[in-house]
Amino acid sequence: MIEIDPVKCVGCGACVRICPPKALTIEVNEKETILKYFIGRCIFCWMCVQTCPQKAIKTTNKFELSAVDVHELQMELVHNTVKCRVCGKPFITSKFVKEVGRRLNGGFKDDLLYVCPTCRRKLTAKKIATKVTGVE
Amino acid sequence: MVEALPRNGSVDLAKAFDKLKRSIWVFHLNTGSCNGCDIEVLDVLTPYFDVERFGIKLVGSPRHADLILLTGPITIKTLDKVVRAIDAMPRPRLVLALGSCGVGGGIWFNTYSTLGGYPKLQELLKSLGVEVDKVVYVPGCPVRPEAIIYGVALLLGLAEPKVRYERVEAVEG
Ligand code: SF4
Ligand code: SF4
Ligand code: SF4
Repeated sequence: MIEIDPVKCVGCGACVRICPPKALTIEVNEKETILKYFIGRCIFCWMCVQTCPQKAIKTTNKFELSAVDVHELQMELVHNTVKCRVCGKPFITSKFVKEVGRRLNGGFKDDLLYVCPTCRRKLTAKKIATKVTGVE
Repeated sequence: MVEALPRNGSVDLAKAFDKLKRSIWVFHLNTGSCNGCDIEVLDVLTPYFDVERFGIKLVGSPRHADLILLTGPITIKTLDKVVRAIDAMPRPRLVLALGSCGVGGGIWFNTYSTLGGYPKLQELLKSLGVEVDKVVYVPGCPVRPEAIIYGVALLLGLAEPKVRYERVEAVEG
């Protein structure tokens, strides 16, 4: 099975996209973002291990994974959800925002960092329009 | 779809379970698996692991079996036969859902031609009135021979489960 490091994982969801049988899923709600790992469907391909940008997923050689109840085979990692400052939709995790900020090295100000991609696009378009035409 | 056969006579399940501690007979049921898990099942039964020394014996008919080794995601094509085979087993009926296919449908969990794993089949069996007394889920793709033997041990209560549901909070760094 795989083990996800709760310190390193930022909840970006790259592993969820790559996982062939969707043993990894992500659930975003108002309060938390839950990264779920269902061992029962994992095919132990290690694609997630290769993909994780944070190197948060570790392979283990545990294979005696039998369970009497299928729900015992579920693992969950809970992140905080950050809401968009403009539209208020929950979009990514707080750790992910911080990580993006760190990687961009201050290239994004907080007013853009905490804004969802759709709103960010609108904001940027507005900014450009203001610059070109000179009107708000 | 087959209908559950009428049954007569009650079974003393507790007594039957007691008798099952020592030697169980298994029936290998392939429900459309890729054969990876089936090869591993063969591995368990052949001399390298040799489970016959524990009394685990492969039988040719579900009517003789205590335990079904169910591999594969249960394709629609095999569904009818799978239900009939499980229905033909005497009580107590035990099932070992093998491989990521058997447990959760594996790669084929949401395709049109499969049921998507044993839990879905169990719901169906329940609606048909076919009782299954105990199930153990053994993940792996393919499932390792050691894991199958461990699964049987867990089923018989000889071993403790090693994985549990876990919910961990991410650590803010
Ligand atoms: S890819 Fe890595 S950092 Fe991103 S959600 Fe998966 S485990 Fe976490
Ligand atoms: S090892 Fe493969 S199947 Fe298992 S969680 Fe990772 S990507 Fe998904
Ligand atoms: S679990 Fe893997 S090896 Fe077993 S039948 Fe399914 S795909 Fe094949």
